[in-house]
Amino acid sequence: MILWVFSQHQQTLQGHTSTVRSLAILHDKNRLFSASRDTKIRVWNIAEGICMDVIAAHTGTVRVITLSKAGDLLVSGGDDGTASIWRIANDGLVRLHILNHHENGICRIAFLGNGRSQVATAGFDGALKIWDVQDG
Amino acid sequence: MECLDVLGKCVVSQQISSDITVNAERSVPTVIQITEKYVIVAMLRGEIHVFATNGTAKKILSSSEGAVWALAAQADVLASAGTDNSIEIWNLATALVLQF
Repeated sequence: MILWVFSQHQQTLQGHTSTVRSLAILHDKNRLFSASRDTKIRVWNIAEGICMDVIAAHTGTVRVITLSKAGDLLVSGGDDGTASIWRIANDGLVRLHILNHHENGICRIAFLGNGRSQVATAGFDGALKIWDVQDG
Repeated sequence: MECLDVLGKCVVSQQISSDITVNAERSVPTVIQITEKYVIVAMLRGEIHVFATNGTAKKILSSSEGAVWALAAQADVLASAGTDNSIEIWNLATALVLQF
């Protein structure tokens, strides 16, 4: 086996004020989304190393973010028990819907199949909920 | 780490924690990210193990202080982050070969 060790990383993006819990990279757009215990989602341009937007997304830790396969939507889930569906704009995020039916924090999110029409959320309340994105 | 094929047979098995008895709580894997080229495993103690999907090569990224809780990878770009609040961007294609 070949063992490689990196001497240094390429760059560090700083801005969050608490633990970063989830990351998502948008293919072919140099875009990185980060979710943090500081309740914010940040939008980064990886190539330039700059933060493009800071969004007050939840009232507690933003625990998970997931992109749709087409890269047009992002869903965030938080310890506040809500999930939000966001449209990915050129320089940030636009909130489309808030999904608010979990009794405890949301820990996992997945788009169903290859489409963008349904999202599943799993919570610390033991529930798995499936949402129609169009209806919110 | 073990890599299973679709029939559940283990095709690759890699040891990623050698000091479990010494420092068990920090040797725990926290996140796994799989792409076409890489299998990436982050550890509670902050290091990141990168395997080629064919199982032949392994890289260790010496990450920042604290646990790594999040990974995202696209092609040769890896983003990692965790308890130290900052996000690190790695180029997985430009590794230094230190030992064989």
